[in-house]
Amino acid sequence: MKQHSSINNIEILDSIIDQTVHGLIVLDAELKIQYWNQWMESRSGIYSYEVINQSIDHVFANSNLIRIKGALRNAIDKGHSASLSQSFSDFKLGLYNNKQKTLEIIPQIAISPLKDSSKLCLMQITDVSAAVTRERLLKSIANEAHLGKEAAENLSQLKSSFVATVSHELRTPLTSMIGSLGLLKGGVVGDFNDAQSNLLNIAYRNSELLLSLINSILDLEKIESGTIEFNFKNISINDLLEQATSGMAGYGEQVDINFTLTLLKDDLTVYGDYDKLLQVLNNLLSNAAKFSQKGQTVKLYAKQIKHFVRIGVEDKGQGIPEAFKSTIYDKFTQLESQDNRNANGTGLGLAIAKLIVEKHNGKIDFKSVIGKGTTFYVDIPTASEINIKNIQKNIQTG
Amino acid sequence: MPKTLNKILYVEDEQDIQAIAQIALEAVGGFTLKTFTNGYDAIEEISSYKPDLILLDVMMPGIDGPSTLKKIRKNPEFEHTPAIFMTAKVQPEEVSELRENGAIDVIAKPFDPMELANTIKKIWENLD
Amino acid sequence: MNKLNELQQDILTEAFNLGMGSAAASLSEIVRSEISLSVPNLTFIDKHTAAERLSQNTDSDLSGVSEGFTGPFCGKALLLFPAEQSLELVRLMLQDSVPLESLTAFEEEALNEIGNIILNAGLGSLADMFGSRIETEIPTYTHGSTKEIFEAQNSANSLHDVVLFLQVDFLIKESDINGFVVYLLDVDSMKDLTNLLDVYLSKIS
Repeated sequence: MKQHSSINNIEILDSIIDQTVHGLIVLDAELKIQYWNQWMESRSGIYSYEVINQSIDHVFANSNLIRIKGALRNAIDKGHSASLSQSFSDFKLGLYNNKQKTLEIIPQIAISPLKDSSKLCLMQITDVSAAVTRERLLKSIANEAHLGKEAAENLSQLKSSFVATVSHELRTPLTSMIGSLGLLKGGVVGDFNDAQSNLLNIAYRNSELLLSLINSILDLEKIESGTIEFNFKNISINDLLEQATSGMAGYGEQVDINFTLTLLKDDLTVYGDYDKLLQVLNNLLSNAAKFSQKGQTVKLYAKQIKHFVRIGVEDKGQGIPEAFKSTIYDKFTQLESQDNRNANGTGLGLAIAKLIVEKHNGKIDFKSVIGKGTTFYVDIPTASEINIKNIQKNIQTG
Repeated sequence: MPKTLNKILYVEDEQDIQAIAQIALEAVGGFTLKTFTNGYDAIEEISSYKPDLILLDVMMPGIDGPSTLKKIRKNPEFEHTPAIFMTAKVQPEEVSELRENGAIDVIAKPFDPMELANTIKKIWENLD
Repeated sequence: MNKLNELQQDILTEAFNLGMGSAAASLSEIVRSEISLSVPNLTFIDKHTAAERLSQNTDSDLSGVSEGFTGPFCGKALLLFPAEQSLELVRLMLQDSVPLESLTAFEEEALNEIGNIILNAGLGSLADMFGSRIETEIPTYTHGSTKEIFEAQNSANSLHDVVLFLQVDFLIKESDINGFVVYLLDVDSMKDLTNLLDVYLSKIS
């Protein structure tokens, strides 16, 4: 007898089978079901007590079982194993990815005789929906463009450089628009009446918003596709925080928000991209300001938590509604600020911030209570050899 | 302290950018400008114009900014005339290269037209 | 090294062709077009010679399917093609017009199924002939140089030194695909097989 393990306890073995992430069915010589594991129960919605000793025809009444039954018979009668895939037959076994039956699983089936048994066979079902869907998608892309497999994968790279090119083409005329509107608005070539000035302001503001949107889209695309250049080095957290606050000072005056800074008593070093981290902080700080009331304070601080440094941005503003919390990092989602100061946002800042933080092997999270305020946390591992190696690996694998 | 900055020779091939910069420098900065859309014309006309400062776009078809400046510098009269490059590429390595090519400074594009004159004034004041 | 005598050779070839016939029928039904399979010849050779023959007409890697089997004799059964031929075969069977340079995971599974049907049929035919039971394991896709593929088949308790080497010709949609079926056996298994052949021969004569 083969000795794979020292475990003889049936309960333990049963438990192992029930935690297996594949469907396991045992059938006897009459193709009646003798074992139906937990995976099968949850994917079919049928309990094992309902199917034990039932014929496979009865259980999968709505499925085309010809090939499967043929293979099962071969396993019982001749001892032959079989592998059945989607390539040649479209198996539909009435198995779903969840209780709500939102997606029918594409199964891959392996059938084998059970050794050392009295004419029993084993049917294993694996969910290959994701792989098959991806393959079909790749195939359809390749089909449409008559490209080879490598080219099909290059297509997504082409799309990336397409985004970059289009963004550049969009930015060039936009900068001229912003430039000339800026001059007009500045009264440099003559004065305007109130109505005219108002229209000019609207045009200028929206052009800047458009430019900011294009830059953000390009940023996001670059980060997601791994083509952005990260410039990692050892960074002092206190330096970073000071730069963030001084950069925000002008904006703070404009919108009547007070930014305060609490530095680390003992400065910490992280391995990161200075500009990108600054970008993240600027985004969090300006969000905090946008959702605060005039005269309020936004606090920026840092503290050490084990081998992480936690940077916190805390405001006492309107807070984030429950319904919004799960979509906050999604692209183009924007909360309305109470005095509409978020009208100049692109909805991409947090999406970009999250990607940047993750590239640093860090985490971003928040706590918020409506009417009381919000605190965003960015946790970054402190610089250490292991962390540096991980980040470098991250960058390479994109 | 050099004499006051008055006449600027400006070379930029893109019409819209040229127009905006012209207003930014003349109307906002009060400078006198002579603009050219290509380097060759600038090289020909510089002797008669005699600018205090040369302002050049880097990326231009035909002859680029650095090459235009090199040719201008061949004339002993303009060997030491201060020059500034305008470019979208502002990585540290690229900036040092441009400085080596005879420029006192580099201004990033796109520029804010309301600030351009100020920026140039500051650069001028920092000249030895 | 014990070679097969002419009688043994004939009877084996006949058995395999029978098996191939039934495999071809199954495959034809699956893809709904005419497929024919034949085994023109087979020999017992050593691993080294087998490796040479497999890489004979091609510089490229091989693709295929391997299946362990147990019964009155044990070993590993493999269906192998030069990589481009396996590509061609799968494309023909899947009716794919996409010129992708290498098999996708999807197509590896398809090749697995094709190999499974063919290898099972061959062994099934032998099992019928000897009146015994040969059990096969779930097939796995394999790819690489001949050396790599052969080495991957070794396990803790078996060293395969003898190869039953079959050339298999596929005819599908007017295209000729040439593949190989090899049964890797150890010396004892080979003895068992030849004994069974002799027993069978004496029964029918």
